[in-house]
Amino acid sequence: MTNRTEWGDTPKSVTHSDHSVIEPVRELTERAYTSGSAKDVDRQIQEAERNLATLKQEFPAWMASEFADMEAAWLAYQQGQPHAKTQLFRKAHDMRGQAATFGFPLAGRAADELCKLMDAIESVPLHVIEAHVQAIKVIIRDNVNIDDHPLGVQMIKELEKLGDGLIRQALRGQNNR
Amino acid sequence: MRVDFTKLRFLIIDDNTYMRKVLKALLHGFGAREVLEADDGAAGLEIFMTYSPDIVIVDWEMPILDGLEVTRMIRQPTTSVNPFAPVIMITGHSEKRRVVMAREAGVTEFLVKPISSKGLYDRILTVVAFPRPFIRTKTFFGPDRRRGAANNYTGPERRKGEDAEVIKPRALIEKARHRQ
Repeated sequence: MTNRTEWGDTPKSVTHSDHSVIEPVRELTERAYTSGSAKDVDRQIQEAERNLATLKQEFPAWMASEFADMEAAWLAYQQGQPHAKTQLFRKAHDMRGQAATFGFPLAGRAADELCKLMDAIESVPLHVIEAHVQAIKVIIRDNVNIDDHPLGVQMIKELEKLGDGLIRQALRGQNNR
Repeated sequence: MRVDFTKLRFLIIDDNTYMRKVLKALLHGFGAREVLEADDGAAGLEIFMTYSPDIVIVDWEMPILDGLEVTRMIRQPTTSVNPFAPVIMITGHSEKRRVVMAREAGVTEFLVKPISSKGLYDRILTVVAFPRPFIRTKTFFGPDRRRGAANNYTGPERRKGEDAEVIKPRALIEKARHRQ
C-alpha cells in the first residue's frame, strides 16, 4: 500500500463491501505516551506559556507588520490587481486568528467580521471593507489591547450590524433567485 | 500520563512567519526538540516526504498549496511516506462547513485560532494517545470521520457490509479511564 519502512508494519484492516476499516496505528502511542502526573502536564504547559511570554514584547511590531501587509493587499484590491482579493482574504484570515494571541483581541474580531463577509458575499462593497480595515488600523495605532475597550467594542458592534445586514440581504437575494 | 515531546518530530506548515514562531515556542516549551518548518504548502510537502515527521501542524490559508491540498497529498496511500501521519489543522476559520471540509480532506484534529497552549497540547495528546481507525473508500482515505457513536441517529447505515456498531470509538474520557 505504501512504503512500510517509513511507518512500521502495515496495520490490520477489515474489508467490507464498499470500504475498509484500518486499525489505528499505535506507533506514536507506544513511543511518546508515557507515564506522568497531571502536574507534569501542567509543567509542560506552563513552560510553553513562559516561552510565549518571552515573545510578547515583539507582538506590537508583529501586528504593525501584519497590518501593513493587509493594507497593501487592500490597496492592490482597490487598484484591481489580480489575486489581490485572495491576498486580502488571507491577510484577514491571519489577523482573525492571531490578533488575540498578539494582544489585540478587538482587531481579531474586526478581521473575523471581514472574513465572514468576504466568505459569504462575492463582492463586498468597497466602503464596507474600508470600514473594517480602518477599524483594525485604529485599534493597532491606539494600542487597544483589551477586549472591553468601550469605544472599540462599540465600533465592532457597528461592524457586526453592518455585516449581518449585508449577509442577510445576500441570502435573501439567493433565495429569491 | 503525558506526552514525551522529545520522542516526536513535528512539521509546521504556515506561510505566516509570526505564527510559526508562536507554534515553535509552544512546542519547544512542551519539550519538543525536533520542529521542522515550511512557509508554504509545496515546501511543507517536500519536507514531509524527506523527513517523515510524526505530526504535521498545518495552516489552512496558504499560497501555492493550501492546508487542505497538503493534507490530501499526505493521505495518498500509494505515494505518501506516511499516509497515517496525524495532521492538526490550525486556522482562523471556525465555520462548521470549514470543519467538515477539513475532515473530508483527512485532517485528524482541528484547532481554531486564537490558539492556547492547552488547546494545542490537548490536540497533540489526542493524536498520540488515542489514534483513530482509518477508513478507505473509493473516494476517501483518512481518519474515521465518526468521532463517536451517535445515539440519536436513526437513519440507515451508509457504510455497506457492516453494522453501525462495528466502528464505535469510545468517548475519549472512557478511553482515558481505561488507560489509568
